[in-house]
Amino acid sequence: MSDTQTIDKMVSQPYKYGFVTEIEYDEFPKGLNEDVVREIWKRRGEPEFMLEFRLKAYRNWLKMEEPMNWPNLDIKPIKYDEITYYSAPKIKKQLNSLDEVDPVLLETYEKLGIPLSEQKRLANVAVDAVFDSVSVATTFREKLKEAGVIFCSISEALKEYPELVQKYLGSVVPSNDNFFAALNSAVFSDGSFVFVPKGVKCPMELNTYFRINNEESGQFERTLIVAEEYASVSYLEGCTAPQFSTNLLHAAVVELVALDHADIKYSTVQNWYAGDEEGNGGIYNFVTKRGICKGDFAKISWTQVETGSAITWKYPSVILKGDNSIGEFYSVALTNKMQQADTGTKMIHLGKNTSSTIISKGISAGKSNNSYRGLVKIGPKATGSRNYSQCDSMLIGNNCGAHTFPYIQQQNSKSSIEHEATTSRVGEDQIFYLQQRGLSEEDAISMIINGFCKDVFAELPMEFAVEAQKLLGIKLEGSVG
Amino acid sequence: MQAKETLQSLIQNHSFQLEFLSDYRNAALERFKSIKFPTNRDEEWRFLNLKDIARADFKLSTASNIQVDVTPYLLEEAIDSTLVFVNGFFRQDLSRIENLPKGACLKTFSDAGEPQYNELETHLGSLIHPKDDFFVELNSAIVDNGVLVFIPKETKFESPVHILNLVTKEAEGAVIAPRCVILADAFAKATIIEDFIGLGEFEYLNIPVAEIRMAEGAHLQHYRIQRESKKAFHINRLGTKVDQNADYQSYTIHFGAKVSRSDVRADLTGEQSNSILDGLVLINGEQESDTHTLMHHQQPNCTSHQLHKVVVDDKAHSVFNGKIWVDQIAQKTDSFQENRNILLSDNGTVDTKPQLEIFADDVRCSHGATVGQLDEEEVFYLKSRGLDELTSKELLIYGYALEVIENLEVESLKKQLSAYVSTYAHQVTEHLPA
Repeated sequence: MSDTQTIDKMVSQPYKYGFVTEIEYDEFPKGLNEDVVREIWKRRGEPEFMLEFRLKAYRNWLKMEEPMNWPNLDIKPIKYDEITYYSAPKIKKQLNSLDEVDPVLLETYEKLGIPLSEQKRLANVAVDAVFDSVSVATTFREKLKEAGVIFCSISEALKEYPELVQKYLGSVVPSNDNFFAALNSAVFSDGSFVFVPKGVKCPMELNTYFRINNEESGQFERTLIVAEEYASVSYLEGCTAPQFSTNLLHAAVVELVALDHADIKYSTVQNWYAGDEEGNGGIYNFVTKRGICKGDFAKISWTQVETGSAITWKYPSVILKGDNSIGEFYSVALTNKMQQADTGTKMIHLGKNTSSTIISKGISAGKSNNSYRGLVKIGPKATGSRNYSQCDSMLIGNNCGAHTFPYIQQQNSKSSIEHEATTSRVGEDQIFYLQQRGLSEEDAISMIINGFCKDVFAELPMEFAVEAQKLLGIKLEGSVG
Repeated sequence: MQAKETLQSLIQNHSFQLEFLSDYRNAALERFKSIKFPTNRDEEWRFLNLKDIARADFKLSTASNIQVDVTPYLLEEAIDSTLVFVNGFFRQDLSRIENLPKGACLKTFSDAGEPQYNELETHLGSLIHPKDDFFVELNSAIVDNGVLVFIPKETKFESPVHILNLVTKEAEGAVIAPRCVILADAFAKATIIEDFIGLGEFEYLNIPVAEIRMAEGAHLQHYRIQRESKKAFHINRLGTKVDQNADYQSYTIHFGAKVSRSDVRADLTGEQSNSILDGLVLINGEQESDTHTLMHHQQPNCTSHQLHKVVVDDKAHSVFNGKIWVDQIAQKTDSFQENRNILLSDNGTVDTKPQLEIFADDVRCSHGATVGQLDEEEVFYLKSRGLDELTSKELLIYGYALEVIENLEVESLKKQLSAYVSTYAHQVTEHLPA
């Protein structure tokens, strides 16, 4: 497509990315009841079935008990009555140049190696025409459309493809799955919807798009990704740059559905505000992520780099229902200061000859606590299945903790499970060796940590892998010595 | 279990023999009253099927002087240091204690004298952390005898101590509560065998509790062999305190019982101490076996090692939960845990949960867990040497199980156990597809 054509196209279509969205200024009551759920449904203009979906979830949620006595997690009570469950789209204050941005933030961007144009976007500085993210995003959108890939917000999808959403929403994470999933199902604000039709290989990594079009999707995010037969897609959420939020609780739900021979790769880089040295503030990140390999030879792969949040509680899981399907989980979880992370995965083998791999690297520093909690279950019919798990922990400093809780269950005699876990520290001799080669102590440690996490970073899309490495270095600054 | 009230009134109306334990029993009974029977909703009891125990009605065991032939179970090394209990009651006529080293004590609670009462009162219940444990409190509420072992400073027990707990048909439907307190003074050395044997196929509930306190530099080998009736329930708990430079080696072997559960806890409370908690579980039929261990490193520079091997066949179900806990001050800890499971049948289940809880940074801790089958290549190798398929598999299972038994230092016991392993290996390979 020539430039002229692009421009023409731009001009001729309605200007939908600007600020014409009607903004609700009226107050929305705090707290949650059936009327609030109805009001959310009404304001979002969703189809009929969604009301039922939300109300059912809400009623389930009422019956559920909030999990308060979790091992290894210290959680301050969450006041559900003080949350506003509907937030109108917000306009951020536009800044005129990078000079107005908090220098600390800029320094972070600099260290992460984020390009100038993107720094501006992240800090919400008005971007000049050449780098207009909207136009780039539109080009991407065209490309996806050509391929037949649907990629839009879930509220848009509910309007334009209600049957598709109805078919798959809640099919992997039922609305009564757990306390936070039920809450999310009742009140979810927005999120992404991806649908890759039969035989289509998504022409680009959806992260590329995402970086350009990273909207604030609020406290209760909902993501649904469906890959039909022989389709494949790679999706990245989050961002290495620090993200701030005024909300204490973030309870997202992500569902992945892979049909025969489909391949979904989902990567997360999470760097929410983690609270101060004493653990005040910071976000509770309680996420339910689950994928199902519905068809034979399907593959779902989770990669996550968790560095932020006061408390991270998430177990991206794969249900291996189709024969010969594959599940993967690669994770780096870093905690510092007073952070707590309780993360891991569940691999539920139901189909024959299914296989799963778990590589988890936990790094604890400061006064933080880092737990791996996982389940590998091979059912009676899942003959010929295999699992390999490796959970390594590294401790930096003497006030932190590392824990592993792997649950392993096998119910047939033609499968095998291997699990390994180690806990160690950065060796003095390793640091000495690198220092002797001319590296500073901090660089040496950063290099050792990155080597420790190499297996996971290798799974990330390239540009994010580079940033993730730097991110770990920044996060650990000052904690070593 | 029948209404707890019924059991409580049974206990209240029972005439116990040992008066000096009555306060201890009564206090435990009070606690027992407020404890609920564990269910699968309790994390510690999540996988074990306790329904059969919950359904059964139990009475308290009563003394009888029936004739029992103990010769097949005697160990020649321990011929002068054997204590025999039948259905929970000490049998002087079957036991033999001779040539004890000077100052040593190997007595039942009933034979212990005044000074040892005090000793017992201090130590009973001090190491098992019985809070909220249904079966420990039940044991404490009905404990009426037990074994007290004291090994004096710098003394060595030349021959192993064999504590033989036999259960006969007379105790069908009974609860039996063996108890054992072992005190090893500084640099003492001994081998102690607790042996649980059911004579026949019938139902009963055996809930042994053992407590071990090891002073500086003490060495202890401790074997617990569970070969209960295949219809019995066996739920046992052990707590050990290992002081500076002490070395504790525990081997737990589970062959019998319909439902068995073993809770082992080793507290490494002194620097440079070492502990081994090895285990072997061979089960088939509809057996359930659950092993929970806790290796608690409380001081720096300690080492620990754990090898837990399991073979599961038929509809059997095995559970393993091994915890390594390293306190913040326990720097330079070196701890290793390995759990290997062989699952031979499609109806069997293996649940395992190796667990690390580390609060110190300069440590080396690792664990590994595998669930799998016999190695095809190993089978092939043996076949290429002229063995048939079944014999090859039998041999491999035998060798696999023997890795744990080989470490035992009592030859005659090793022989008895190897014979059992060999029978088991033959039994489980018989029906394998050739």
